Amino acid sequence: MPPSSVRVKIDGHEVVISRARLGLFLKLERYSRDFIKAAKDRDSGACVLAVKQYLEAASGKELDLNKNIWYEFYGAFMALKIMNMIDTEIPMLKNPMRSKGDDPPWTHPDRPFIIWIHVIASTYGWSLTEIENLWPEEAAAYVQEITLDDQFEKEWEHMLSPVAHPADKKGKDQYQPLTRPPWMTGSRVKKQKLLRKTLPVGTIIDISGVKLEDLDD
Amino acid sequence: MIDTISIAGQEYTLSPLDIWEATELLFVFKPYIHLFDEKDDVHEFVKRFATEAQEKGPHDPFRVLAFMYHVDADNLISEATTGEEILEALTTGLIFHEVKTLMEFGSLLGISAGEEDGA
Repeated sequence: MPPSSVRVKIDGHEVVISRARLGLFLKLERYSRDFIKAAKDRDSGACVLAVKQYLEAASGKELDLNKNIWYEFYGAFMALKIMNMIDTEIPMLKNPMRSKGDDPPWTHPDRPFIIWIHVIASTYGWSLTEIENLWPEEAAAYVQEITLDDQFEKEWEHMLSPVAHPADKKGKDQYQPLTRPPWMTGSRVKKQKLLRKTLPVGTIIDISGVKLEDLDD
Repeated sequence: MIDTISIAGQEYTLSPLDIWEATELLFVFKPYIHLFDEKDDVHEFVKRFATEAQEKGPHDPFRVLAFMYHVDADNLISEATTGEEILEALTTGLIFHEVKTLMEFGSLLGISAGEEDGA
């Protein structure tokens, strides 16, 4: 279980920052994604900006980069990322679906996070404030239940449709059930082989959220 | 702690990295992080780094030095520059900038770059 608060040094002062609830968590994830993209592009300016935005959002304070020592700056980011990891056994998050190909034309940088709010609000009718005040683990559990209901409803409609009942040569019904996402079928994420030299060295602080028991032997 | 070094007769001084310099330095080190073993002393890492850099990026040791000593990489390359001086400057700089911390954050960038997108 991640800690409920961490003490980090920002602008040269020690501050205690508590774990983010859903609203802030989604905002932090956005900056975290920006950081990942910047690191892939080897864009140091964008990396620094993303971490600055992350720390400002997490602490609620504007940062003066000249007052921050680099290892305190990145140290605070790492500590907050670890604290804000979703700690859950929810299958939907342990075995998520990956989008294939290009993003659809209606996507935008905040869309992955707006979806969480949209799914919960349109099902339960809760206000934005109520939803943003959920713990990320609670929100994930609700989203999984909503997604399950939606899948079962689609499966029922599919079962009643002639599309699901093609006939073979003898005219016998060859029922084709609707495909379920991997997290509903219990199939595991394929083990990905990595070269030893690509693994991090030294004291490894895993911020990927993948637990050892989730990996194949 | 030693904070000056002589390269090709020119004196260079070490001072703390700012956030941008440190980030650039981490990017330069990213392909070499696997060479670091905290059980070894810094000299061993520097030797491995210099050897691998000959294949991967001969300019990389100079880029590392340029960030650590706040100078232009081209200024460090001259006919008078010896391999011994480069190794010594790298070792001194990495001790000054705490190589272990650098590598830990380098690993962070490495891990993050491999993460899948999405909340």
